[in-house]
Amino acid sequence: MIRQIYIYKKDDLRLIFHRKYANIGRINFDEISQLILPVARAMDDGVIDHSEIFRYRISYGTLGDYIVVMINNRSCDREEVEGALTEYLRDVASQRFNSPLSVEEERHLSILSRRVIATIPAKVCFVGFGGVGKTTLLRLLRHERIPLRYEPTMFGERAIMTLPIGPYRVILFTVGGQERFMPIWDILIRGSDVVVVVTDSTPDNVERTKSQIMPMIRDPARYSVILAIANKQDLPKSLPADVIEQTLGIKTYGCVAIDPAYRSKIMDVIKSALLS
Amino acid sequence: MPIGMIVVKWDNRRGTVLEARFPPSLRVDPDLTMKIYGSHVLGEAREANLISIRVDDLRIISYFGGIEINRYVAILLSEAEDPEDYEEVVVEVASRIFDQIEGGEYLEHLEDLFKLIEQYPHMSIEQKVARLFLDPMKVFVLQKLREKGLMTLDQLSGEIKHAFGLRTVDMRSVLSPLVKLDLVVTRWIEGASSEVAFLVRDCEILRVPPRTKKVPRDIRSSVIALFSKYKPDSREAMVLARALTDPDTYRVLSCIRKKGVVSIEEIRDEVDIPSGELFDILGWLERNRFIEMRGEEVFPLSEPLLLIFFPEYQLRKMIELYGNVESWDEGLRQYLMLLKESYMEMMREKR
Repeated sequence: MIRQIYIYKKDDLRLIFHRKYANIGRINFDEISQLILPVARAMDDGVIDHSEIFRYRISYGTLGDYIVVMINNRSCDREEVEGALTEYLRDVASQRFNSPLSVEEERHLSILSRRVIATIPAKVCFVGFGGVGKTTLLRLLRHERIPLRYEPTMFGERAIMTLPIGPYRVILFTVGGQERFMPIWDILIRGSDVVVVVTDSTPDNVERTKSQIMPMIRDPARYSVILAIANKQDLPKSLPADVIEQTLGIKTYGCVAIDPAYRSKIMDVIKSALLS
Repeated sequence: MPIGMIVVKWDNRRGTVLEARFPPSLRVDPDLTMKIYGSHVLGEAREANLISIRVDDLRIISYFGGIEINRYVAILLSEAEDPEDYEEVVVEVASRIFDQIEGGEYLEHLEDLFKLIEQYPHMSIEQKVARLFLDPMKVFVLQKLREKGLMTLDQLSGEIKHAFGLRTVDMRSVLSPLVKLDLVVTRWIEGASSEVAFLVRDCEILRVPPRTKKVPRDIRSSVIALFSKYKPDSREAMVLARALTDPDTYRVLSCIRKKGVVSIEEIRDEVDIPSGELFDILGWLERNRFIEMRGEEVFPLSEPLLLIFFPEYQLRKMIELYGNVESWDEGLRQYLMLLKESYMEMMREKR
């Protein structure tokens, strides 16, 4: 997903347009831009280059009178970002903008930016052993009827979240939790902006999640935000979310996925993971 | 009849993405595309593989090009169809699509590819084997195996890469039709770096004089003139293969073969092909010296002939190349056994 867009005038490197759709943590882009902009100005028209920092990628290119910088997630496919940036650059460079922008120009660039943002959806992937409630969470987020009978997911399931988060269309994935599907989880996890580790909050499941799942997701989710949901908090002997957080070493949220009252809480968790 | 064909790619962010479908009106459930992909990547070490699955009332045969290509081509069949009938053709169609994936060139040929899928189960063995001669890579593999008798898949893949300037070769898709048509057998041999391919039946495509006795005297002299200068080469093999494999051309040719001298009217009545197309076919047959047309009459000049035969020459070659039987390794011993089995099988088929 593309988090922020900057447009600069090429001749004096003045910022004429900026849109922030999601934060980039504690990264100070003003400092980074001092390094990137002179490089971008010297580049040939239409060439795209990238700098990578932490879980973000800063992609930039120039065409005509303008330089465009897009800050995106490293989990995005580089070629896809290049395609989106090239098209956006072409749209921007085909016009001449005032500095500062007129209201009409500002509106026009906002529409262009929204359009390019929509080309790369956000991806959230739920992982966890069988029966912990991954599919139920997916149904909860999609405002669908909660399944009463357990039906194991084969390979994986995919669904588009009914409501967008900010400007982003969100695609939800769950992995098949049975042991035989574990060797192919990486295929489903790769490219995720957020990986949600789901546990049923029993001591045994939490322990197995820590020892088996956490090491397994490290590589395919290395550029993703990872958090945990401690499901089935309504059951007796369930461990509280803060205890599970300590065991897993990642931010953990308590939940009862069969209870629709938890929908907005889980939505907020995902929203915060995607946008913060 | 197949319901349709789909080309699906894996995208890390979106999951399965439907790249192409035929017919264009085909409706495909996104969950189905995920199920097929899941079946491909589960338990096959992510290499190229062929699967046949059943989902609700659909039967599916699908070929996955391996994790680098990360795409599959699937044929959707009704419950009454046997997916096994489409095994070779799905591999062939998928390889052609994967070869043209960049730039999407294959999209222009979807209709023709689907036509081939529909026709394939109804083709004769003769036609299926003749199709091999249209594919330079398969011709090359057959030639290499004729020279050596047996080769590991690593050796074959190395030779193909060198000859065709390729970085990777999907050996499964190259060998699959040869194996299905009983020309080649693959086996694991102790100590070999990869599976070993053995040539157990050979094939040749030839042009022969018309086998009907109804050829008039003056046409016979044209036939003699044609064969006195006849020199087969690879282009000729492709012409002969096309005559055998193009369904409409094959039907016209079969009609002429059967009747000898025949009028265009009679052919039209028998094969039920629109006039324009029939004239195109007759024109092609005449240009390639299969027929001679005089006014409304068509005379046969030559016919394609496909021979499938036991590679007896391999036995002599084994002795020449590898010395006496006592010094043979496991691969050569296996080859001898496989040749014996193939010979017995061919004798049984003849009876």
